[in-house]
Amino acid sequence: MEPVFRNHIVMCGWNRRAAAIVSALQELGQRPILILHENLDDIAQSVGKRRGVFLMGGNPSDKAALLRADVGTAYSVLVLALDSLGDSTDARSVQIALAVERIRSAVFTVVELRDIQNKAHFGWTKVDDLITDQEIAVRMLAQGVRHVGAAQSADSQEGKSERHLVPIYRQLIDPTHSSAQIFRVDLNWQRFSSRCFHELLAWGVPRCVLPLAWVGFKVHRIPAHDENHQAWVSWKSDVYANPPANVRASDIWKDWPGPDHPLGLLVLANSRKHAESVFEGLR
Amino acid sequence: MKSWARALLDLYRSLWERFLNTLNRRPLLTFSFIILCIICLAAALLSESEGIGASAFWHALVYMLSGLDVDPPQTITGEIVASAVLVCGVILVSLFTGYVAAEFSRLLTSAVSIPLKPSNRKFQDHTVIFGWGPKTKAVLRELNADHAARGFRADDILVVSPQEHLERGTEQIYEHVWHVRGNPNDTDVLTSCNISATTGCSGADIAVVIGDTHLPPEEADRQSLLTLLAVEHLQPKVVSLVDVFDERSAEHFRNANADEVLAPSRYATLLLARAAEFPGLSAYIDELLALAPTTQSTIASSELVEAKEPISFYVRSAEHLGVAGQRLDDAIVSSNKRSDIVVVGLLGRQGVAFTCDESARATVLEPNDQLVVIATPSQL
Repeated sequence: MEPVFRNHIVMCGWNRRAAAIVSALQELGQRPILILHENLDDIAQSVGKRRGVFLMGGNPSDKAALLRADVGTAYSVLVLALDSLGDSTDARSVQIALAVERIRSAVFTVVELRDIQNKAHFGWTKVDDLITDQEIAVRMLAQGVRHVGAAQSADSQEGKSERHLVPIYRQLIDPTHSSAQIFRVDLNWQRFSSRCFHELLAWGVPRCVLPLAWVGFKVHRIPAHDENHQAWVSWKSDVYANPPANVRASDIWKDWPGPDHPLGLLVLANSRKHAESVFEGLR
Repeated sequence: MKSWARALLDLYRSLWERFLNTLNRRPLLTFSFIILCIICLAAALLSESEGIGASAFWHALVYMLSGLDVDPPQTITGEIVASAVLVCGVILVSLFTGYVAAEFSRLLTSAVSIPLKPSNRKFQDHTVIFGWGPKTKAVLRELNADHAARGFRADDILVVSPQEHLERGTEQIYEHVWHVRGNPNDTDVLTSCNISATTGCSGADIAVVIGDTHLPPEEADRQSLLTLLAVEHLQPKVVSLVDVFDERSAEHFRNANADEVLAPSRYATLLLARAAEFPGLSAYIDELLALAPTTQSTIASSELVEAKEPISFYVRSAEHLGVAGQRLDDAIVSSNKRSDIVVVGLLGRQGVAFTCDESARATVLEPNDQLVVIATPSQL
């Protein structure tokens, strides 16, 4: 059966921050957002009527429901922690992540984790991103202590300037008051895999776009346990920051899930459209 | 009261306080001294009939064995003295046993708890963390990993918490960490943390306020605000970092002069949205934020980067990077070609001017201009 949705974002579940996430997603791009939730009556009012946002009833850990949501052709899947489930919400997220992985492993999966202690349980699911506010807080506080401490004890001007680095972390995540943001530009694998990172940087910088990192795919080959099981290949996104100037993407990632999967380039720019147009012009 | 009676009472009080002080400081020595005194005194009382040596030995036996298997005294005086020695013996032995048990318990607790801040030690240029919980432990873990990776000596850290003991588990991350017991909003407690500068002591560098996870978010933020106000009142120069539960409270903390107000709930929302729209972005930010190597990091997949170091922000002068005299955009390209680093901005009085800004790009760099770069330690 032909998929109804393509390149869309599937949001599994709904919680107190879901409405804000939908708003942020709508600000960032024009992809359709499909919300898959068991009880639509509960959330219909919160979601409201928004353009490009679709509701679908079903249990997100159920493979049939995920197939109906066209997870196989989705751009990414976002698994939210349910407020109502309490401590067992992470276990439910593991079930959903495993189900998504079995349908299409190259789809980008982001999971909101409630308890950081459960992070290890997601090792087998090959989830691309695990996000928890607890971890963000800890890391930002630790960076603050580190940079301020270094600045206070430094003798050199460089060391003293470290204190000014503290707000940068906040600006990168919350660019509300900053014009510069990090975006991802999708590049055609066949066209750009033979390019060096430095080449892209030298092209982008005069045009006000600063490349920061490549995003490719890491392959996991999972052997068959016995003759009744099939060996299978799992793909997980792979970020390569500050790559050596003269190394090409194809040197880093020998295996690629297919020519239709784009090579990602994270850039610092003032607008997403401008960043995309800059690299379209690179021949 | 007559003056000589008052003087006698004062003398008694003074001696008693001194005795208690001595008992507190050197309990074993004091106990031994009391026992010796009782034996000598009792032996002296009975020395006429028994002889001083035999009498002392008899009383030692009575004291140690509480009178068991010992010939009883024959005279009235002997019986009175022996009874007194017996009662003293029982009291002292039970006190001694109690002391040993309490000391043993204290040692056991201190083996798994963060040590209390020594009252006579003055800390300076240290960090004070208000609040104890999983977040505090995680912050200490991150800092410890960073110190280990960079070979730095860790700064002293004081953790302020009203809890009796701060359990530390078996991790080796608490080497320079001390517990200050008390309410974080109490000025006396803050003073004992050496927050403010005093003669010969420069005070604390950083105050980190972490909300109490056991309280409802709004109440926890209120408590944090009180702590911040108390800290800012004592030492406005201290750099304060505050972890806020409810992003709507952030404005109050800014009004209270917090240097950095972190609203992780808001960041998580934004990061979840951006991660779904820009695959890879969250992992990249995670890599930048982490002080310890991240378990989520996916960077080491290639043979090219087997021993990948964590990337981070650094500040380096244009002279240090060898790009003085160049335009900023040329400097970015040349420094990347030379050492793979990425220059993201120029540090000015107004903060960082990012290199994607048209005006910053054309700046001709002076030798002392401070550039913000993303790099690994070895790339620098």
